[in-house]
Amino acid sequence: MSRARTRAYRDGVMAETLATVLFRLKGYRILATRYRSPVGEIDLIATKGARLAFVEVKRRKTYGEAAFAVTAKQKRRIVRAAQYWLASHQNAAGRDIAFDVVLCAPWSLPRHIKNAFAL
Amino acid sequence: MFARVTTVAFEGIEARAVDVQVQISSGMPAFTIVGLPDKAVAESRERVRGALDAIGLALPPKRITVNLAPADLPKEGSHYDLPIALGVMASAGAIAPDAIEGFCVLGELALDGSIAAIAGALPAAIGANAMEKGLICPRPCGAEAAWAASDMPILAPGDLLQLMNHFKGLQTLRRPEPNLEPEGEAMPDLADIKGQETAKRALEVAAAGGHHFLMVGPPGSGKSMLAKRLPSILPPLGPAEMLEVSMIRSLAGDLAGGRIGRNRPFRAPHHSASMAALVGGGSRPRPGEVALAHLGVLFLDELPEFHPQVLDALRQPLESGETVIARANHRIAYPSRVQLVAAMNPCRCGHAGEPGYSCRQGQSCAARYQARISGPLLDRIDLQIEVPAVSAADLVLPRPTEGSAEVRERVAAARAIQTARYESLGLPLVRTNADADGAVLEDVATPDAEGLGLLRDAARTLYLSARGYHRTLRVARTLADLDGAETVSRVHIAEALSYRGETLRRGKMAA
Repeated sequence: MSRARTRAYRDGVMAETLATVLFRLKGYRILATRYRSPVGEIDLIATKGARLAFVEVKRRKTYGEAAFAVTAKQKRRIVRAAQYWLASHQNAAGRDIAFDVVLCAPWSLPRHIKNAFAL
Repeated sequence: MFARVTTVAFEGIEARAVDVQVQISSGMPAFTIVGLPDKAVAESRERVRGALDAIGLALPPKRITVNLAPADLPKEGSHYDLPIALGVMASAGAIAPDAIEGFCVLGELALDGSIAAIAGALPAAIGANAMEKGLICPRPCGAEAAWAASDMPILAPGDLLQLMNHFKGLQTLRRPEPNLEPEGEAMPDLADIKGQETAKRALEVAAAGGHHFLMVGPPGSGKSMLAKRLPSILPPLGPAEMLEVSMIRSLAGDLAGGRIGRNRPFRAPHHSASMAALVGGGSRPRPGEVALAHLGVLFLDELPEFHPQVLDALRQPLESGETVIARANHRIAYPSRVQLVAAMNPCRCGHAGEPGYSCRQGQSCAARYQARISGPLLDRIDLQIEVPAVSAADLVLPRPTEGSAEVRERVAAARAIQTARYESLGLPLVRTNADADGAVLEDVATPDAEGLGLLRDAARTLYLSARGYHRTLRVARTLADLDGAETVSRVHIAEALSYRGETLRRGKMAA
């Protein structure tokens, strides 16, 4: 991997770790991180009460850039991956499923957007 | 987590109850609408989301399913926004479900939460009244909905917030007041027309008997002027008729300010009108010009310029008094009892038959032009007259003393005689002489011995067809009613025979 890509990868993992810490602080139980399925990947799966959140973490130079980085195609992949995960976790049925986004930017706190998108 | 709201779907001018069922359950967050919604209804999802956002309510991130029952009836139009929004709010607990139970709801939402006007508030209100429910409709539609019944509860909020506050008791919405069109609106008056006494007389006869009316004459002879003055001599609409007319106008969305008027409708579609524009229809059925002219006048200027198929599509509404639109998905009937008034030139250049004028193309020009109108359609027009060109000498004359007001009185008297007659015969469907047919006509319009003699002679020498014979009788009956005469006599028959449209027949024979 080139230097830039290594750096981007490292920053990305860093952001995901930051998001995990944020969710723990908010009282969520982490069910999976960096979940990979044949149909897509999910950065973080966490639950709190009846709420089951599938979280996408985005890191860019600014919050705005990060928010626009979640494309429609990516949303579809996340939803598909979530369905894949749900199929193998029957006890998740009956939860309120939500899709959240965490935006990260350098030298700022991660920002949690609840219910960022739906089907 | 379940709520239901009542709204309506329109089938012609009938409002059918539609149940909006909203269920919120856990699962993948989604917002789906089922129950044969068309594009405008399916898009209501985004408007509901926006409107709820605007008043500070977020759609719950859950699985929201909206079902529009009955599921096999196609749902069209934008008035499903408000019932869907109220259903979502009720099932999410933002408003009490029993608050909306007694109401039929319709309205379109804007993204800022305001409620926009919709078409068809009046038929919906009448439908809701029949279901013994109140009505929630947009504010601009309140005035027309208030006509449906004086005692039914009607809420006409301007936006979603007002409605919520009303339910919470923070604000009361008053019942909207029914709105009447100002009386005595200036209509063109018959006194504006100088000369053309024959045509004016024929117009009066047409008004008195509700007869279809055709004027043939060169350009500039005042045919359109005459036709535009017909509504001014027709009797005003009765209360039940006003409601009927307004229901159709409401469906077409042209009841401005919810004002209901007593003037009879006058529709003058351009001759390029398509079949769908004239008789209604298209994939989304809407009332056409014939239905909009219900109980009023449909004026077709330059009759032969209309597409022949379009004209022939008029035959059924003229015959049965209703337009039936049959499509794969719908079968809809709009009431359309119209009085057809048509005007045409005798030939393409317009001057055939005028003294001292000879057309280069000769007789065949007029024949070809007139052949564009089908015989069956012409057969249905009781009164056919020639309107000669106006000479400058007529224009020098002083203004005629008799205006629309005087003629209207005579017409009203003749109509009163007709109404009394057909009511006593127990025929509620026949309102004027024009509707009388067959045995009824023979009963009421059989002339005295002298008249019968003349009619027999005419039938032989003029080759009257069976339909022509009946037409003559009908017109003669109206002439007798205008005179206040009990039986049809020789003068009436003679005058009726003169309204048979000699020009057209001559043209046909030459062809």
